[in-house]
Amino acid sequence: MIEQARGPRWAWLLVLAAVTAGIYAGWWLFGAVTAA
Amino acid sequence: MPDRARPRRIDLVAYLLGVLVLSGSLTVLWLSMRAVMDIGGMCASGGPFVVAVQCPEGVEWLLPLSIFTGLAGVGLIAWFGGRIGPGFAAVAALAWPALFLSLGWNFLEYGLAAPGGWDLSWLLCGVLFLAMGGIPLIVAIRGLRGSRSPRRPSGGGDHGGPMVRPGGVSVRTVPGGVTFTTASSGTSRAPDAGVSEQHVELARLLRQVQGATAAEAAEITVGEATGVDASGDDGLVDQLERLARLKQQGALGELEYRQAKQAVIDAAAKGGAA
Repeated sequence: MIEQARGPRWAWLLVLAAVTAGIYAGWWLFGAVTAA
Repeated sequence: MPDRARPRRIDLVAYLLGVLVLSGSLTVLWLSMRAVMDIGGMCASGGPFVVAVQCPEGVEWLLPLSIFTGLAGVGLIAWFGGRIGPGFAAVAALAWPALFLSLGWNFLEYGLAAPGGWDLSWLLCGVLFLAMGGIPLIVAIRGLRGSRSPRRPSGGGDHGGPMVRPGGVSVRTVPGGVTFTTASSGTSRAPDAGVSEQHVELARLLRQVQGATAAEAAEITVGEATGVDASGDDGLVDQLERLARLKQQGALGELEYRQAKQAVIDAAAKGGAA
């Protein structure tokens, strides 16, 4: 039977964590570059 | 597509890296834009010219770089998200509203808090950006809601379960072919008044195979159900056109359409070989 591949629900928590980490990393990078 | 409850670790890592790179790039772009707007909205650096307004340190390369890294992030999300699950790949589409809504916010904020009171040109940019980001987002959300309407209950449709249609008709797909049955098994039931033409047509097809037992129904292909001989080229084309029309009209879902199309092609191949 053809089934749609579906990731586990807990993976969405990792996505949220990655978004938060990305925003933090971007903020930090911008601050580090412009302050130099 | 294989059923994959647990994604491969490499796919998940690459996907999360894409999410991280995209959100980081959008953040850098957003901050860079504010830094440029702080000095009037225009700056330059380098080159043989006399520069009236120098760009803030680092912004002149950070801003364009963030655009390219953001695109790379979208690519990672779309590619590896597709391996994890359809919903995960769709996150890439959120990059568009995230970009335009966040930059539109900057325009509106600076347009309303300009030195002279407010700045019409920035306000116009803000409204335009918010519309460009917000309208597709609203359309996408409405589309998502539509796809989760009571007509397609969870666990049905694309997952092989029964799909309830207006008129009390349900469609069930089974391995090895396409079988059709009705929700009121064994009784001939006319579609409710007011149902659209495509549902009437689908219900008519379903009634043609209603008398078959489950075992027989498993062998019934769409070609037999539609009463068109699939062995000839003309019959095959007719059936494919008919299926495409049903799909276009919304009577068949994507998965149903693919399965039915395959069943028609298989039936034609079987007929040709016989």
